[in-house]
Parts: sequence; C-alpha cells; structure tokens
Amino acid sequence: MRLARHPLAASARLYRRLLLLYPASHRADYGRLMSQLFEDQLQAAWGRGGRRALAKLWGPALLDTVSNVILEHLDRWSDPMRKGSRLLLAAAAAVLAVPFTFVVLNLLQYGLHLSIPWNPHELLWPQVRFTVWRYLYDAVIVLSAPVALGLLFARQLQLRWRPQAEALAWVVIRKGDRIGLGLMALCLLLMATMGLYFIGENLPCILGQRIAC
Amino acid sequence: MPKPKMPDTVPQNPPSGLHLSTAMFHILLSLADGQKHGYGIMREVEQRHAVSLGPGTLYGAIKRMLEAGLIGEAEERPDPKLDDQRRRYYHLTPAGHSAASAEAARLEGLVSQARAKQLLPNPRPKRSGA
Repeated sequence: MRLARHPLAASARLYRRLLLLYPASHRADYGRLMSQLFEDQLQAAWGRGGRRALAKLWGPALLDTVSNVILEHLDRWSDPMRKGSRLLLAAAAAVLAVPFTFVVLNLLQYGLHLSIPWNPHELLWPQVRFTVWRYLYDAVIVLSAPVALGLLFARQLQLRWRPQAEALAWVVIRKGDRIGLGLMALCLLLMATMGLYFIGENLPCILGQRIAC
Repeated sequence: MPKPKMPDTVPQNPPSGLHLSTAMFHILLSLADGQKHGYGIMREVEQRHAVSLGPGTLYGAIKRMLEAGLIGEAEERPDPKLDDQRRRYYHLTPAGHSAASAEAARLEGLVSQARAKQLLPNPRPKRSGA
C-alpha cells in the first residue's frame, strides 16, 4: 500500500533507512516484512491521532530498532556455525593466494609477454633444490584450488537438525553470498587455467613429439 | 483456612533447544487459535496482553522460532482476496504447541508458588449446583 500523505511517507522512508543497520542476511529475510509492519503501525497511529500519535510511535520504534540491531549482530557473530563459516572463508582465501599469484604472474609474463620486475615463483624455484620440496611446491600450486573449493563448498552447506522432520538435513546456509561464490568461481577458473597449462606443456610428450619431458 | 499445596518444582523451560522469551510466548499464544500474519500477531498481543511488540522484536522472535521449528510459514492463505499478497502467515507446529504448553505449565507452577506464599489471593471455590 502506498503511503500518500507526507508525514507517513517520510516516517516510512526513515524506517527503511534504519533497517540498513541490521545484518544483511536478516534484512534480506525480514526487511520487507518489518517495513510493511511499521507502515501498518504508522497508518493505525495516523488514523488514531495524527501527527502526535505518529511522533509517539517513534520512541518505542527507535528503542526496538537499536536493541534488535545489537541483538542480531551479536547473534550473528556468536553463532559458532557462522564463526566456523568465516574461518573457512579466510582459510580458502589464504590457500588460494599461492596458485592465484602463480597463475596471474605466469600469464602476464609468458602469456602476454609483459615484463615482470619481480616474479616470486621464478625467484623461489632455483632455490628449491631438494626433490621433496619441489614436489611439495608443485602440490601446493596444483592442489590448492581444489582444496579451497572443498572448504568453500563445505561452508555453503551445513548439517542441521530439522525438528519437524525429526531428521538431520543438509541445508544451504549462504544464499547469494558474493564473496564465497566469487572465490568458488576463482577456484574453478584457476583449476581450468592450470589444467590447460599442464596439458599444453605435456602434450608434445603425450603425442611422442618430445622425448625428454 | 486450608493452606494451598505448594508445588515441589516448577517445570523447566520447554526442551526445544530454545529459551522462550516473553515475546516468543506471546507469539505462540497468539497463534494457538489459528494462523496469523505479523501485524495480526502484533495487534492481538497488544490488545489482549497490553504488550507492545515492535517490528524488530516480533520478526527476531519469529526468525528464531522458525529455526527451532516451533512455528511454520503457512503455505495457504486464509482468504487471498481479502488480504495483502505480500503478507506471510505463520502457524503453530506440534513442537510449538508442546513448547507453549510447557511454558504455560511452568508459569502456572510459579503462580501456585506465589499463591502459597500469599503473594496472590486464592481463587474463590466454585459453587456446586449453580
């Protein structure tokens, strides 16, 4: 229902601005409903006593907003599942750092032939003399992206008890989480790039065109 | 005057894994006689119990009770023609009914204790054959 009269419209607009203080996930689920409920309260107050009733509504509304904004933020931060979810996101981002810099620097240097003044991988590679460290270094670059993808996938899903169904159920907890989904896309992109790189490099060996591989 | 029997223990909060706040109990009570939308719940709580629930408190409590399975979102609307399509209706689940009953029993126990300690007057005995 559109609020045509100015004080009602201004109050509704101000309340919608206040809703921005809530955590985004709470706002996405209940923001529209809270705003609609407040508009219903505004209409009722306006019908009861005009501007005075409207002004009287704002005191409790502000207290309600402040106390619940704090509660929702605390609830979000104290939830161990969400805390775990943040740790998984940070771990995935950290794990991706090595293959990401490897792929980006190599693409720039060898793909686009741009001069890189300092490529940490080229600097590091001659230093790694022991075979075990070389394999480990290769393993970090090759396996980091799938490991990070696993961490992010685990983060998207959560095992919860569903009291109504009396059963455990996997539920998606982070619908539309841009950072998580972006990192997942980055993992897939890195895996595809490295896959192409390794295939391209080893194709002559596979086809028997090169003997020393 | 015979002294009213004092209950030994007061039942604990319902075993739903969720501590029922006053706002939650009011919402469960409001839904006990049928499904309602947010504004309907708020109006009933205000009219019957003279308790004002703001939008933040109401939907915060609804969110927690939905997660705990005490209430559910109704798929069918009572009469779609008569109401705003954007409203969401909520109903009590069997778990919510048990939780509300357990909380009511707990409060009844507290009232009995208050009576036993003469903080409340004893109810008048009902006349038989009236």
